[in-house]
Amino acid sequence: MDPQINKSAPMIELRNVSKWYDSFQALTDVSLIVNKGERVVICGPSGSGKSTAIRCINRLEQHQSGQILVEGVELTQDFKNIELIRREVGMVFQQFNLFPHLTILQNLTLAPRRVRKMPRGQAEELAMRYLTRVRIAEQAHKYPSQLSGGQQQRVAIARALCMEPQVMLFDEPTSALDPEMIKEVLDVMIELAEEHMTMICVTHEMGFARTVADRVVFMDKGQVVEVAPPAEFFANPKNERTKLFLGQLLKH
Amino acid sequence: MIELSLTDILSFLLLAARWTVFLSAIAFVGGGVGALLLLLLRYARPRFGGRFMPVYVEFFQDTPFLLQLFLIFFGLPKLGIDVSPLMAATIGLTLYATAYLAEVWRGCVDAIPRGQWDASASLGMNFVQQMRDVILPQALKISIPPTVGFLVQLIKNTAVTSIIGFHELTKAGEIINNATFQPFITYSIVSLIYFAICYPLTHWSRRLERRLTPTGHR
Repeated sequence: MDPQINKSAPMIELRNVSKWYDSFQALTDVSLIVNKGERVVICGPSGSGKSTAIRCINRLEQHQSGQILVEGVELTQDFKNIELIRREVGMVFQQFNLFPHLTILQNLTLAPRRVRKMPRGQAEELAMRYLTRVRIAEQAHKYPSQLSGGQQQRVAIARALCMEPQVMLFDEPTSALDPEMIKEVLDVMIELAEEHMTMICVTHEMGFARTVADRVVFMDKGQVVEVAPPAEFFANPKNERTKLFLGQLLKH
Repeated sequence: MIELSLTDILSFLLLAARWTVFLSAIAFVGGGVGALLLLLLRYARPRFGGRFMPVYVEFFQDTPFLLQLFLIFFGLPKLGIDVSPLMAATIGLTLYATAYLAEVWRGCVDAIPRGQWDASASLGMNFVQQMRDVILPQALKISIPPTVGFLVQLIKNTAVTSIIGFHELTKAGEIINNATFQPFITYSIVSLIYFAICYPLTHWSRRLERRLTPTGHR
């Protein structure tokens, strides 16, 4: 089976997605459409299913009912289908997850060379271009453990971009960083947003949500509670649970 | 009692030690291949491989190696399969090494953080690519000390095959002792030969472990 990518379909579509861990229901009827070039921020209390939801989009987690479509292609059990979708969906993790045994440059060239079968020279050229973009080109021959957290996360973003994905998923990209390093990572993300990359970010950075997001999604207890443009979301939340959550955030 | 010169004894023992080394090498390589297959099966097909491997490993870890050897040497001929002591020793040690190495290496693969699987999967890499380029290179480094530790164990365990009459170092020592009635000298020399084989391995593993650690990496 070779799934056909439909260029006019929404970038990502979740239709009534539900997921259980044994008897615990992690996601309940989650539906969400993300169009091309759209920036969506997902927020909510811990344990609300935000990370689980985006991990389902590239099949790091498997949903049990409902449908997930990436550019109109439905995610199925089929290995080929999953690998095809993963090439189009980049992901950045809370813990960076760089490959510690490879240099920064090798971290970036591994997937293009293995998955896209790109010649080494071309992959390195591409990698240097993205490393320059995240302002870290001079570290190319170091190992991840020699870099600060903020630098490692920028490398992780560049690594995902090297696969030239259609969508980027961010799973709390700044949560493991020291405060002084958060800005350098957010700046890279903002630049990416300005270039109209389709992005879904799980984050607690409400300033980022306010300035960058087209829409903010609030999740609680595995459900999508509220979806609104940031101005409306922050100024005039409709749901009681959203108000409670925002109230708690503002107290800090 | 027969008078034998020290040179006679030493050359007799060293010739037999070749079989100890040969048997260890075959069992280690065979066990390594077997363990790798068990491991790939376990991670690629968790439903089948994940159940088969523990059963196999438990059987070989929780029964004495001597009995496994007896089963092969005395059991297989009853089924009409004729086995020489060399054959029985080779099969027995290989199956045994497979079980232990599979368990040691499983521990090493499991020690690689889940995030490494997640990150490589999110980049579109398939199972074989993930294993070859991301997981195994990291697992390899931490696996060296326990693997060499097991190899030393394996070399010493070849002594057990003397019981089914396989002519290796310990068996040769027994023959010498029966001829000379000088157990203290004979078995001291036998021990020294085992030591001379095993000690460099332990030493070399420490060196290799250091070399595989990239500069500046914790």
